[in-house]
Amino acid sequence: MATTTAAFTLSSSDIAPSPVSKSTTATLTKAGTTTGLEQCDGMSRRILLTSETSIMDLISAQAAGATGGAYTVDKANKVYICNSSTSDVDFVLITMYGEPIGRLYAGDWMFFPWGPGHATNSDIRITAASQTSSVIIDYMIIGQRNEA
Amino acid sequence: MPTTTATITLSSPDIDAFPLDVTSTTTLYNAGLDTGVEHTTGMNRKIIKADDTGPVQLISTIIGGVFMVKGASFSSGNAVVTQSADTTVTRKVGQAIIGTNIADSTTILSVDSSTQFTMDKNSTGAVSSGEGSVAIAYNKYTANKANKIYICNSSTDDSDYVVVTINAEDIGRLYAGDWMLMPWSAATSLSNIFITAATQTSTAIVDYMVIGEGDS
Repeated sequence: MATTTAAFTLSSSDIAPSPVSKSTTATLTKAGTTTGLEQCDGMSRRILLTSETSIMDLISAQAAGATGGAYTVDKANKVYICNSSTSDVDFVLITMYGEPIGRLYAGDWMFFPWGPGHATNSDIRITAASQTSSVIIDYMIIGQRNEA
Repeated sequence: MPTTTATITLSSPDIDAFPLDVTSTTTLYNAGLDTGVEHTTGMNRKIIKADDTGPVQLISTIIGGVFMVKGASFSSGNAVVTQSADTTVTRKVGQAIIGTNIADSTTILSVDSSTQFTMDKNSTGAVSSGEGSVAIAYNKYTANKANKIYICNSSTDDSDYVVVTINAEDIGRLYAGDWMLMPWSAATSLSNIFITAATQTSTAIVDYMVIGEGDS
């Protein structure tokens, strides 16, 4: 059993009357258990040219192939996405099942649980509609796919 | 200008052939700029009892509340609203309109003058000036801004989870101890964030915070 932790720290000395300092560490476990997650896709990188302005798949719910969704709603899968670009004005829009989640600006990252509720349509897509330079997206999945 | 940073560290000595060690720090800026975000809701906590199994709204796009439209009037089946001039209320295209004889999910289509705006749906009945109640929902979070959402399931029962949804679309399950940080577009007035603890065996504790620029 692997042991994987995800630590988060939020810090600001001046966004509120009192300093903000929040730290949380989660040990990533399989759904409803204390057993550690064992599968990791490794860090992937996708580079979008300035001409690639249409919506495109980043992570597919059916990555395992035609036999069924590799990632299912009842499992514990975590997604990390980082916009590793450097231009302040550029962003990528993250969408799931047609629902806009949010914009990742240069340097921004996100980490969230992913439970594809629609076998074929819960893919995670990105759109870099207005970038002024190439966009670099790093992403990784840690989870249990559809294992028993 | 405040300086706020968010750091994630993913580490594992044994989930892969090589140790996993990823650290990323981002400074939270306003959209498209290098000026720091200035708004925060502070950390909030919602406690969901074991029998609260339906969707619970966690974060609303109109968290800022509503402004009453002074002297609003319109005829039945018409989208044009006339009102008394009111410099204290900022009207914007896309803001939700609620009130007497206003159809569900109605928003402002155009701001025509200081005393008139047009809705994107016709009224379901007439309202005379001084009668009924018509209000503009203040969109605190809008699509073209940089807002971040932090949610943590601070419960302790391993088998319990909450499902996080945006505009009824499931994002994923947060099990006890899990946290998430994501950007939030608040693409429409319906892009509220809900949590559902449908099968929890004990009280669920969810901590959450919004950091961003609102619609400033």
